[in-house]
Amino acid sequence: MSEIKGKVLQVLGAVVDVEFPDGHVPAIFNALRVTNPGINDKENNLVLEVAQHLGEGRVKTIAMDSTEGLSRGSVVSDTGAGMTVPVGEATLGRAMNLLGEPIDNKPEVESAEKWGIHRAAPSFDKQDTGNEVLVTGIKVVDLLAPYRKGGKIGLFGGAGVGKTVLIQELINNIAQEFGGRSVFAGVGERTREGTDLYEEMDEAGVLEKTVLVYGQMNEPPGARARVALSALTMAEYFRDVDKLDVLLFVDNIFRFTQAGAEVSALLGRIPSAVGYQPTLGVEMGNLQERITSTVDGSITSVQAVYVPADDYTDPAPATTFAHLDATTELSRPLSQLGIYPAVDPLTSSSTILAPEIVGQEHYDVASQVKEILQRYKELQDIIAILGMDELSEEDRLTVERARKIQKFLSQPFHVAEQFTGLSGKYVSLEDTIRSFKEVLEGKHDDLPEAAFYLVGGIEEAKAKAEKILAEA
Amino acid sequence: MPSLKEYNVKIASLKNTAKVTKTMNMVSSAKFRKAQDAQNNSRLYANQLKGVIGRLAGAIGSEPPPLMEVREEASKALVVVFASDKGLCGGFNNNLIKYVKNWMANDGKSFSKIDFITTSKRATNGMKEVGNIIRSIEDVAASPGFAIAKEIGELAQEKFIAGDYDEVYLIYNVFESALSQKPTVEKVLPLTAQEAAEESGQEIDYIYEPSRTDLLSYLLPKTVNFSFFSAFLESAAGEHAARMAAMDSATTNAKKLIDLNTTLRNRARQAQITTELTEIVAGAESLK
Repeated sequence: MSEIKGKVLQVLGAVVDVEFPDGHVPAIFNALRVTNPGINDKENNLVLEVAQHLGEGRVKTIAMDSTEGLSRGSVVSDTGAGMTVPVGEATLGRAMNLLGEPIDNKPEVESAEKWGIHRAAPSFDKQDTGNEVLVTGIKVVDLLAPYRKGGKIGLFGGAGVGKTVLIQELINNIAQEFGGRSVFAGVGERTREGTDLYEEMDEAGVLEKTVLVYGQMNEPPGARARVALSALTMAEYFRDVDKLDVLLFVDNIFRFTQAGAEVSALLGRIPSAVGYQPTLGVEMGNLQERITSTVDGSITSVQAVYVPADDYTDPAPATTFAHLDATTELSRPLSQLGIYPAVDPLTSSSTILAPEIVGQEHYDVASQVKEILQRYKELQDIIAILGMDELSEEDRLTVERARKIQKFLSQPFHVAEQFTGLSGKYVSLEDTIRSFKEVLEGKHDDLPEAAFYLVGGIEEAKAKAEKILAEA
Repeated sequence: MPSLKEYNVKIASLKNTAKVTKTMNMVSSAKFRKAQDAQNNSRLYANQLKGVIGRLAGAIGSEPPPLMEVREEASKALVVVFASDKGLCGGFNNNLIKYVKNWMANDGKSFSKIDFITTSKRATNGMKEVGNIIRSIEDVAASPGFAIAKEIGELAQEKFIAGDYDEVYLIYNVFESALSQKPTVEKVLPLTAQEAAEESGQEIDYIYEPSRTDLLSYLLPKTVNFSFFSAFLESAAGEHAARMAAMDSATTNAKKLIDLNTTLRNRARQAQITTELTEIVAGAESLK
């Protein structure tokens, strides 16, 4: 293969300028290879992706690994195509980086096919919009913002409110029962969490149905900006070729945007609102539009979205919002009350929470729960200034029930057993609806508030109440 | 994170609230002083009056006056519930209404029928789902006059004598101090001789003109009316005191919230300035 050789012109952090002779210009998204002795002593160990044409045979590229040790004049070869990753059966049970290279100390991934990571979104006529509910076994999610099978779900939350724990519980509850394939993309989060997840899946025996792709926070921005695409490509193969249902977990999609912002200024783009890249919308759109269900198979995606400084108006989470079917927002005030999962029942939403999809009873219970919590929120201002005494009997009952419901929305998690000391609870949708209905109807006004905290169904709350009374 | 404007709106509304509660506190403290004087005087007067009744009651023979007639197996009760017309006085009304319900569930269980007279809006609201209200009065609780006390006092006596009710109770907040109002039940009819005699202390043999029985039958209705008036006064003093305390703590709470929100607003303002500066600098930098 007669590859065209160019040479490194400038190294600017994660951005490398390359010059090619004779007016040859590699296409945008083409992968270039260069040897960086700073990484290891292998040949062509650094991949650069063309991001911008500068004219006169020069291109700006983003490095997918460390550029330390790279020197000007190093010989760069154009592979003539974009980055590709292995797809299909061979990827199952493996942990890889964004290039499909193994990071699990096992041999190379030998796949028959390799797909480029930049692909077009499925065309309009192929898209599928089923309306089946995906039961997660988590009360607050199933009741107030149910997930759609084949839908896109976002878990929003600031630092340390429990996004990763929630996504791991979802993996535990859904992926382990799930017949299809799962793909997990670790984007710019802790490496330790990646290792933990790998080992947990191995123990649970679901590893052979799972693909793990990691580009964690120790990786340069180029890797973090592309790893989600690599994972998505593998998921797309299962959907389009194997025609299977796929679960795609991404933790954390914000890091994708952040990585884009890190290289954006180096590429010479003028920063836009709050310092983000001006191309924020299109980058997010290109990724999100590909995560979709088609008539062949479905991709149900669960994406954790970090919310910087708990500010939901920040452009990164705000841009992500628009693409999702269901949003689960985690709130800091709730996590400070010790309510886990700290899902905000009033701001979390789902497009399928409609009577014709989830059923009239579910819809009614969910709206009543939201209503009573909304009323409680309104009354809080009055309580803060005038005190509980000023409330009417009726309002006081509302407040009492709302506080119970608020506590009842907490739930012990399987993956958090070592933190709570309580065994995890899976609550079926029927139990969830019935339990909340009974609380709303006032059947459990006699139970103390503490009985509702960190329990599964209403029967457990009753048992806990008896235990509390016995101790008192 | 709410915007600067949202914080400003919130702070402005909190400031208004604080202003209102502060004013209500001052108005109530002025009214409270007046009501407390009236209540003090009425206690003195009531004690004296009871003393006189006690001494006179010694004269009752086997035929007690109708207002002192104790009926065996009392089954019908009339309860007069005092409270306030206006809210914003802490637990003043709620505690009283809770007390009434509690009383009905315990001491009041022996009655087959309990009817109510309510002397204020809050009492009417509280009692209307509990029982039958035969008369409700509004807009007098804050500064009661004797005329209205006399009116319901006479109504109660009339019903008692007619045999519509066997016992009449008053339930109201006793003014203990500016910080404490205690819901209390007081049986006004029948006025039992023993009860009255106990309070008289030492027996002195007065000479009466007109006769003791005549005097007693003249004084008894007045005593009953005065019991009503005194309950009104206790309740009014209590109401103003309760409102004073409630408004004082409301003002303190509002001020705390103003402080908190001011801090948050300033933080939001600083964050906004920092963001703008960063954007401008970064923008200028990348244009170089």
